[in-house]
Amino acid sequence: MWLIALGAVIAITAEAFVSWRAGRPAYTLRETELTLALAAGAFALAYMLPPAAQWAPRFLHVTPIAMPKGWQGAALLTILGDFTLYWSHRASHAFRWQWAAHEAHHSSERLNFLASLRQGWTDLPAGIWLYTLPLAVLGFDASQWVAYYGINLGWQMFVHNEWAPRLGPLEWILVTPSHHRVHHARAAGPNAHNFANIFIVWDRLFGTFQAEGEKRVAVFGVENRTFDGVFDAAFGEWRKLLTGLWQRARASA
Amino acid sequence: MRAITVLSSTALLASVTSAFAGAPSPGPEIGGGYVGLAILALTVGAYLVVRRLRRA
Repeated sequence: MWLIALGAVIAITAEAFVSWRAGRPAYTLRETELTLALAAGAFALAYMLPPAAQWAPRFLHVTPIAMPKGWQGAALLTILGDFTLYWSHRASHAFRWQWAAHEAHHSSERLNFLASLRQGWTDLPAGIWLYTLPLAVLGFDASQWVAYYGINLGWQMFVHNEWAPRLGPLEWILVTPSHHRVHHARAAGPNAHNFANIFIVWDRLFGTFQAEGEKRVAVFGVENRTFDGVFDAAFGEWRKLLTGLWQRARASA
Repeated sequence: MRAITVLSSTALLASVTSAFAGAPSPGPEIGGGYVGLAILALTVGAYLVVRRLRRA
């Protein structure tokens, strides 16, 4: 975990420094401040609420299935985990109460490595974790979960950038920065594409794939929405959702 | 831009490889313990620095 954190810090620093030297800074103070505030809150929640990797081993004794040990099991978990994340991510755009939790991630108007850490604070009440729950009973061991999280986080960080070119044949199998720019395009609105985290094959299989055009996507964020600070980004859509429900209830009473 | 690609890809590849090779022990390594606390402290520290820079 130390090495993953160190790698992330080096990658973010390198991106910020080199893009600044090139005269096309990938980071602005305003966007960075909001990203770090959201990330700090998300990390604090993650610190207090241990993720699946910690409680998955408790289910080992209830599963009759024998999962492969070592790296083969980690590779299988990476594929299955990405499959469940595809559906949870797609649902996060389809259902408003899950979008309320996920909107914070899309609030960034700049796509950079750090933006991958811009996460909402309400995934737990929104039930986004439910999609991954079946994996917990399959019997993968904790070190395989750690490996999967490392791969997932590393790849997620890599695909959040505005500068990487297309990656040739890899574009057929893996989610690339080009695919993810399409996903974060402000114009996409609720009809977003490219929901997979690692393997773009899920989008190709289930009809949600869209390639980037000749011109790179350059405008990111949420259509018709500005974010007034960290609490607006984390809870703003919840407030609108609950206010709307309350008003409808009063109107029909 | 090529420098970004090389530097950042190397760093990410190293960190992802370490996730496989190191096979860290479960439990407090994830979402808790000193590593989680250090990452949280680093993020909060970076946030305070950026906020100060922005408002200066």
